[in-house]
Amino acid sequence: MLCMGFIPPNQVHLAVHYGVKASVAESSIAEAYAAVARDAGRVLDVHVKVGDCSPALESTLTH
Amino acid sequence: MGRFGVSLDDAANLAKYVTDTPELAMEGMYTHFSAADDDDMLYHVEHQVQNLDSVVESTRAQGIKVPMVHCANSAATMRGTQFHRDMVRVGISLYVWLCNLARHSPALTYSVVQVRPATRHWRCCSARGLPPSAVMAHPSRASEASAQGAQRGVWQHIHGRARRELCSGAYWIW
Repeated sequence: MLCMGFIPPNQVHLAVHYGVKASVAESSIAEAYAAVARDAGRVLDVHVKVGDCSPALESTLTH
Repeated sequence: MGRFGVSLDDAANLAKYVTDTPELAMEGMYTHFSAADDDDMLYHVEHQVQNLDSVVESTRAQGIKVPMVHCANSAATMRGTQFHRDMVRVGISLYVWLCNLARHSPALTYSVVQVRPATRHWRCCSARGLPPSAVMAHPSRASEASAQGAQRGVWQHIHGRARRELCSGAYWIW
């Protein structure tokens, strides 16, 4: 099961515990996830989310 | 980083970091379409796929394994195999929702597929707090007063509705 939404680092231990795969889009978040997985002695499967790189569209959808 | 994912320039670096980190396992790369069911936005969908393919190719060229690539949501899945890659993510169409693409494209043919839920019970491992205003989207629960009551009401509403309509195969829009 892949969680495509953002998982806050303070909740990613649940994903690690239940074997839910996480998506990452930022290295700092990946680092936080890795720290949690390390503490749990587990490996977290991740999918790298690539943005559409369209600032105009992102701005449109944000508002 | 973009709001909806890592930038094209940084994607390979992020993939390398994941690959080099023992506690993380690189399982795939993906993107998500914001408006794949909108014919007016098709050019953007195609451009986004090209960008994803380009990133995956450059990442693999650096010796980084990318086991799985995916991008197609319900609408892109219906548009055709040019968007499918290694897997598709049919979400809302599982609830018998025919996207705008299917509604407004007479040439598009589709068949009715009988589905049944793979699971009947879900174990809740996390819940987010909802503001009292959130319950206003659900008139039947609008009388719930407290935030806690609202959250419980919405959850029961979702669970009951999903269970009832998945089993009946009824039309469901959430």
